[in-house]
Amino acid sequence: MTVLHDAPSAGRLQPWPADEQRRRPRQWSPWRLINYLIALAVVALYVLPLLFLLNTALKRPGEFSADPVGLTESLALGNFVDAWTQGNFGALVANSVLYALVCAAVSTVLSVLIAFPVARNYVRWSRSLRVLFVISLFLPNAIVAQFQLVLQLGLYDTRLGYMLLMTAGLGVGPLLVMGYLRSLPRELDEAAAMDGCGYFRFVWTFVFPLCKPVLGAVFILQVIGVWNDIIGATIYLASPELRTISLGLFTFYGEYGNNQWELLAAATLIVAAPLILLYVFTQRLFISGAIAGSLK
Amino acid sequence: MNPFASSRAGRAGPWLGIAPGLALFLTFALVPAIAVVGMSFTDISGMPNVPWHWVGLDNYRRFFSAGAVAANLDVINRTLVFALSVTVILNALALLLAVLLSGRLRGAALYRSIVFMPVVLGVTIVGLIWSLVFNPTGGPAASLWSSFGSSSSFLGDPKLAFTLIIFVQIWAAIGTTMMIYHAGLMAVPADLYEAARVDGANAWHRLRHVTIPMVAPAITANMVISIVGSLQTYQIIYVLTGDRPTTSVLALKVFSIGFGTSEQGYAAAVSMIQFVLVAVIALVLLTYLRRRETQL
Amino acid sequence: MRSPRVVAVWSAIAVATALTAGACGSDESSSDDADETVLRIFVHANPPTDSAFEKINQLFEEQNPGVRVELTTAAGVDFFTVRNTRLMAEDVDITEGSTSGGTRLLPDWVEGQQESDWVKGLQAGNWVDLSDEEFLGNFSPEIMEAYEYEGRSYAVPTGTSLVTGVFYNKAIFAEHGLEVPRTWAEFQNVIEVLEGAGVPALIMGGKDAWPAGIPMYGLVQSLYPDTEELDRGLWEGDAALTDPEAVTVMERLQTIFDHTLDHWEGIDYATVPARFAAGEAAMLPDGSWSIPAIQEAAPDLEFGYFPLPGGDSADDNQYIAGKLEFSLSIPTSSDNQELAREWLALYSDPEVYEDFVVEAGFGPAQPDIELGPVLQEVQQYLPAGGFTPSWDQVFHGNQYAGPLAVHPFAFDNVAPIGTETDMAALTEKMQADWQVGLDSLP
Repeated sequence: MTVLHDAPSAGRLQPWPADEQRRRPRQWSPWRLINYLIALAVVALYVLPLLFLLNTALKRPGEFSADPVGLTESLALGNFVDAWTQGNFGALVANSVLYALVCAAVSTVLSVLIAFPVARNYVRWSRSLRVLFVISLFLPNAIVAQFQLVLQLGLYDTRLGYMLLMTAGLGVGPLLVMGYLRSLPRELDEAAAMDGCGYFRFVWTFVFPLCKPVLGAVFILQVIGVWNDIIGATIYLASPELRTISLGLFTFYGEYGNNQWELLAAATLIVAAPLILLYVFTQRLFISGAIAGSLK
Repeated sequence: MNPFASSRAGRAGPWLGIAPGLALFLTFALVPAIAVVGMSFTDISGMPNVPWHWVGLDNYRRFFSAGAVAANLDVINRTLVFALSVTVILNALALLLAVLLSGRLRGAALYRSIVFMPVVLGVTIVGLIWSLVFNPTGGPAASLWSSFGSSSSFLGDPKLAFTLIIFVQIWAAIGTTMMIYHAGLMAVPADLYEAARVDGANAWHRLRHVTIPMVAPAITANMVISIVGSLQTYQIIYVLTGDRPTTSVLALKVFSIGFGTSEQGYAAAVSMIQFVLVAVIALVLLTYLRRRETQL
Repeated sequence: MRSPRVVAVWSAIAVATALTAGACGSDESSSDDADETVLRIFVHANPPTDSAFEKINQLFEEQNPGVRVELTTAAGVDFFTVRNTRLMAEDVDITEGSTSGGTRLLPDWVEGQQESDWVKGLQAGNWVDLSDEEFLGNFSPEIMEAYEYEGRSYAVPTGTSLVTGVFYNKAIFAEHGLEVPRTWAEFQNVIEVLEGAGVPALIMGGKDAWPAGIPMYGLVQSLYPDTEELDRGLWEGDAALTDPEAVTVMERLQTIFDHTLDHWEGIDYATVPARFAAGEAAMLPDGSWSIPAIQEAAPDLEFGYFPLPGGDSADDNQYIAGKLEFSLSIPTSSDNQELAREWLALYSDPEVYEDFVVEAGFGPAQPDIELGPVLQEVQQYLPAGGFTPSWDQVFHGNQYAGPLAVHPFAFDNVAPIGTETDMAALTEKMQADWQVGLDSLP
């Protein structure tokens, strides 16, 4: 297993075993060529629009309107500086980082704590709980009632209130973990219990690591959800010093959306950059497939 | 049965773990949602000090009133078309991509990250990118069209806009779906493929008889998540075309009435209609897929 | 087993940050309260008015040491919800009471409809009575009257906007020997000359749909001598959307659509002022609120604004109709009512207001304001009282009507914005949708 693998630590669980490649190294076949062509098409479909945005962000003010498609002539990095200061993103980014990391970390942990006993039917009403969390994905829009509740609890326009709200919407987390746990054998639970391992110690030392691939997904989806939330932040964070970077972008859009596309594209990339970095980082951390061994 | 139940801590553990997440969810999501049922029978405005009254079924009657019914059924119909086409195409493409990008190709992890990028960027940014791409004068899509001697107003064309929205939604959402399939594929033991290969199964047979049955739980999760998600999609439509008679869906109506007006009673009723629609479809689909999983 | 440790570290960092930040957060806000008074203003996001307000805020802070003015905005439909939540949380000292159009109680011919949010709020006692404030005397009496409720004043106006006009590029007109058209025939001739010379006649931002309604309001203004009579007639059944005037409105609207820049139905409204300023088309049907955006895009551009000549006789096309802009009010729940009054007094000062209204691009709500060149020239198209409400300010919708009559006339169904090409057939559908609303009244 060498360069052909994106996940060098992967063991027996790789769907495409490494020895296959060793046996037939880079053998030409039409099927393989088609694979590469499809991959190329996919990348083009995704990279080109993103490059278009980057290209726009690097144009001089006015250059985009004159020639939207042409390559930038100026590498106007100043757009990023201007967008950063005019959008006042510096003051907002810390809030967003805080909200996103706390809400995502807490709700990922809560998702596992809910999903494990429910997936294993270790509690009564497991089935009802499962249905409840499916229903949670499409509850009716309850802004007015929710607002009253938050107001009465004194949580309006506070960091704590907003984070509680964003954490309470666990979203797909519990369901994803439940689905994943169903593909893992339960013999491990029984063996651990026999050895006298306590419930929470088991959850912490076995269930969490076993669920790592899916937890990466849950965590990053929660981070994205909180980072990109506009409606909740608009309503529950009235004070400017509590606001998020996405709200800042939304305001920026309103202010510079009339033809200052270069600045807008730069602002967009500023807001997206932390998420892209975090994603690249956690993707390596969580999805490198280090779940072998413990399943044997 | 809970194998940890022999000790008292082991019996209480599962519920202790579930409690915080469940409490948050019940308080901030479920209770307000239940209040919406009550609100749908009132003429509540959402403004302070303005008196409200019970109006019985008036809000529901209004939705199905002689003047509104044709347009509203049209909206429901479009919601179903949107959800069905997005779910089917999205899942088929995502599963194929997940298999294709599961480590057999050089740089598969990079490709996966690229396809996931729109999820990271969020709806506002995705909307901005495609608005710029589909700009009818000078945008990249227009340049491409004109090289074929054709032209279009893209998102402004009432006959084309909805198809483009479906395309953008699939483009934007495929990353999540693919990631869940990828996590499912990681859990498929490699021995199965080896065995299938020894039996002389070709690529299609391996996909049909090994991969698909083994990722059946992921298929169930993905199908439910995408149908529920697409039945509730409105932000991307709002960003790309606004609430137009040719592109509006039920979720967008809920948003427009709930946010743009002070008719919170009527908004609650439309929310409830949407809730029932999604609930019926999601629960029927979930039951069907669960049954099918065991047959595979 | 390294992974649980990773998760543990992440969670620990997260929780620790949360706790410190939470603590800091509460410290900050309490110290704010101790040191300074915060006057909270909340309005809808609109760059020209936002920056004009910020200048007044600066002045106010200079005059009142220890006071900080906090201006927050919300864009689009979010504004309505956030205004309600801010009012409910008693978290705002000055905000928009009436968002447009003044008080406008429902007339007696309208049945089964709700009063506006502004009127409901007044009935609930949500707004502070400002009738005795001297600074209201600075504003034109006609405009103050439009905001009154039961003879009392609760609102400070920001200005007016003109809706039913057409911007034109003076250089392009001069180059082709064109003059401002006074009749529909002259307007058609202008289009013909321009297109004959290869110059696109009109541009509009069709992707957002609503801008395509602007020429419709202009046509209604010209083709119906009394729009209030049309509203009453529709409600009482004396007028129909299939009347010859209505068919003419729709046919002339179709003509305008046909002579607008290719693929204008895909053009973003936000880009249109700049594209007009760049000379992409000779004319732009739009509201006067776009004046600042056009000037910003091309400071030296010579442009004017004339009434859309929808009628065959010049007498029908004399005036540009418009609307009252939003107004500012103090919620009765505000803790800073005295300070809020002082802010409004400063805002109403003729010199301060003049700067505000010029920067906002509004028509003035105070007499004797020195206007910018474009609005100065437009004064000839305003009636003696200074103001004619456009059709969208006159019409009363029926919530039981079908979609084509919710907001007559159904401009957004006309191709290329919609799909209808047969205007006679479209008016039949519009009338059917209106009639079903009348028949379904409770």
